[in-house]
Amino acid sequence: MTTELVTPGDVIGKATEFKAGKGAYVNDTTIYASLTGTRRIVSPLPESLDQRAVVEVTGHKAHGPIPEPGSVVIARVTKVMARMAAVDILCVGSKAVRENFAGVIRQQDVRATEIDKVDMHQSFRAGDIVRAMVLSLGDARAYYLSTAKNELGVVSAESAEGETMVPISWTEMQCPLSGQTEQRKVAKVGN
Amino acid sequence: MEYVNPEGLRLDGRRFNEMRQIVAEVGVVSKADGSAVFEMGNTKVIAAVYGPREIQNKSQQKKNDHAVVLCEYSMAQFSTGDRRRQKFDRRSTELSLVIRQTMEACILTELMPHSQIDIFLQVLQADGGTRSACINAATLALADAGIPMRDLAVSCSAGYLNSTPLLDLNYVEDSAGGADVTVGILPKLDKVTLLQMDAKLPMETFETVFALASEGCKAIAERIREVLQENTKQLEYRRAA
Amino acid sequence: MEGRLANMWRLTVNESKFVETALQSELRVDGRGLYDYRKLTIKFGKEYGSSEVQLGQTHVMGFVTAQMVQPYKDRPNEGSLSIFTEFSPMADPSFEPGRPGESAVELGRIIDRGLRESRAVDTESLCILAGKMVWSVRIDLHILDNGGNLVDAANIAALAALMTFRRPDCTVGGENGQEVIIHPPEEREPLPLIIHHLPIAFTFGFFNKGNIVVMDPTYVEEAVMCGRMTVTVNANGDICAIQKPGEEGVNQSVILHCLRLASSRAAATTKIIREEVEAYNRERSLQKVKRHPTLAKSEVSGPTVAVKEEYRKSSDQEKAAEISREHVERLKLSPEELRSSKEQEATNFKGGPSNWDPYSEAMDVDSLKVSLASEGDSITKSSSKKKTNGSGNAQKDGGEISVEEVTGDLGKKDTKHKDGEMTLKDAVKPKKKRKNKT
Repeated sequence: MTTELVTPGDVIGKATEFKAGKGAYVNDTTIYASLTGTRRIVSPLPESLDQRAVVEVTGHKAHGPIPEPGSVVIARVTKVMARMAAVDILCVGSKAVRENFAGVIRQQDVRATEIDKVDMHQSFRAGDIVRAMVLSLGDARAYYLSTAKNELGVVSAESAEGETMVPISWTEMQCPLSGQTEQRKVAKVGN
Repeated sequence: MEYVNPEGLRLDGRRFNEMRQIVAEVGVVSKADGSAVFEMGNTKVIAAVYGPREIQNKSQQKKNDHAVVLCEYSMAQFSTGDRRRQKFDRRSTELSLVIRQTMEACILTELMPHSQIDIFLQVLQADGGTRSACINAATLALADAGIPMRDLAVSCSAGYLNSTPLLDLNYVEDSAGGADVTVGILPKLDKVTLLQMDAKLPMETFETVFALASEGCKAIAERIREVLQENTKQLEYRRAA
Repeated sequence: MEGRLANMWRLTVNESKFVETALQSELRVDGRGLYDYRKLTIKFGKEYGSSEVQLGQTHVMGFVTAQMVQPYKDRPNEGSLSIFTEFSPMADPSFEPGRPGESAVELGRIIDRGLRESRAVDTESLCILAGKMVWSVRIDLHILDNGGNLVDAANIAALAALMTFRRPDCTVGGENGQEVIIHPPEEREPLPLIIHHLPIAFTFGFFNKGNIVVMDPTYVEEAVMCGRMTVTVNANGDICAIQKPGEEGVNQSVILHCLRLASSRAAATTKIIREEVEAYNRERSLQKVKRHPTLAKSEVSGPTVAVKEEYRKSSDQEKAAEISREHVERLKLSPEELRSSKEQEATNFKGGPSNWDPYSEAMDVDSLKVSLASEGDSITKSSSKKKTNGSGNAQKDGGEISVEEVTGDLGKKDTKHKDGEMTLKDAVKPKKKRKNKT
């Protein structure tokens, strides 16, 4: 691994020899740096098809993560409406975001089956912590999120008593204090 | 008036192709994500960059899949000899636009959809060439903020007085009524992004003045690179210690 | 906020791809070549210093006004020139009413830089009393329709308006020699501005990462293009201003190529503007003859002198002038009618025997007309005599040379204008009646 200080615009390799990683971009057949920092070459994984080494630039500033389509996020439900639930994105992957990103889970994105029969109020409640996947950048206001997978959905919710509930089925959670069950789109956690 | 004496020296003692002294420093505003001070002789500009952050005013979003770049240029009341009249005059509106579009071209905005980048520029001392100094300061601040850029956008001005092309005009030379060419380039890609000129100039003369300004840009780019590398070394040293 | 978003016009991906792909094979959506200019038309208003420029779909109006003000302290003996732009929401829904937006400010600044910094207008001649009074010239540019390339159109509108602007003459006099006397236009001929050269703006659009250059981009092209540059040049090959406000970077060679293109174009556009302005000025000077009947003889040039002598004879000039104008208008229309009938006559009578013409019946009608016309000839002769003698006070008093000529030509054929009070309708009606008869 070689280290070298570079600034934006510096040529850091040829596209025929390397792949551009973070902090680098390709123009024609040349790879340029787009950040100030150290240039690093990461050798490719032996099993990957593309055997070119990755050249990247690591800057000194750590940026907050930004949700992008396909990434799994943890979000808090802020408002439940008839056709959608508004959420605030808290984490992207395993990293906490530095500022709030708004997201919405639309009715048709709650679960994979019987998508037209979803009742939003039977799936989420304000304050729930949800694991969801980013579908798209959405409209000008919010990211579009989906919970239409087994491992996606409510991971943590509080009951009317204010106690954290225990999941008991795909659609129900129970309060350990009162024993009352509430309807949720429950995520499969663990395993 | 004589702006170049027979020995070929200018009013402040520089040669025709000599730049003023450049002092640059990054990380001067603690709250900002990136910041820089850029001095060229007596011209001094401070730049602060915030972002990429969530878009605050949604109506400003034009392209859905690109970051929005916003820029505000202002001149301090005390920056010139006579007090500035208003804060947002037509000149600063235009300069904000020009600087914004220059920086937009060099930032890889497609990497940061749904976000905005704010650039604030404040002229502390004005002695000619403020728009060049602003672009240089903005570049430094953006690099400090770690915002991915195609290249370092740098800018330099050149003029034409007493039938001599002059690099990096100061205020006296600028207001002498001669031509003033401000060039902004992406030095490594060798592309011209910004080009502003006023006053009359024949074609051939323009080409020499333009070439001189471009050379000036490349020299500034070198200096900016040095500053950035020095800063990175400092940071690494501190981290190790 | 919602409204604003709705107002913003966006080009669809398909459209922009289409425009760009077409440009790659050097085709433009409106069929022009890459470096062709759209059709430029310049019109002028009734007042001095107003112009209307149409560049393809783009429509810009320019007004120039002047006012006497105190000069700036740092320039005591120079008048000022300021440019104001008005982007009406009528022209483009994305223009918002109220405070000028960024694009409006930039447009004003580009034109301002081209005109002022290159010293196209002589501001020193606008000084009346050094340090006390100067003329402040204001150019208002109104965008009426945005079809792309507003800068070029607005620049031409500003130039045309400046060239046709006249300010009242004024002198310094009075008891202490510090009083400014403004002479009304009736007394002294208003003065034009001194314009040294015409800086003309040319805008280029860059496409495909600056590899394709296009001149005079349209609205659609503006939405697609990735960069733009405005070059202001004059016919002498001087560069007066350049504006390339950031955006996509292009190679130096491309910029120099654009500069050359622009300066090769400048002469042609200058010529168009000058010609239009001259035509307008000529028209104005013709009108002026009627408007200021009391002009001193020395001030009148060339062919109009004779007219003046006739003027002096009259007692009731105002009325006479009006009548004569009416006369001219009426005559303008009638010669065409007459000429056409004359032509018909000629073609029909040159033909040989009647069976040669398949439309022999039609010929009958025409021959009838002709016979009427020839009858008319004799009438006219007498009527024209009448005019000069008794009833035609119009003829006597308002007789401008051109009018005289026209009446001379037409009087022979025109049967119906027996007195000056007849309207246009009267001139047309009889012809119909004639047709009905046949």
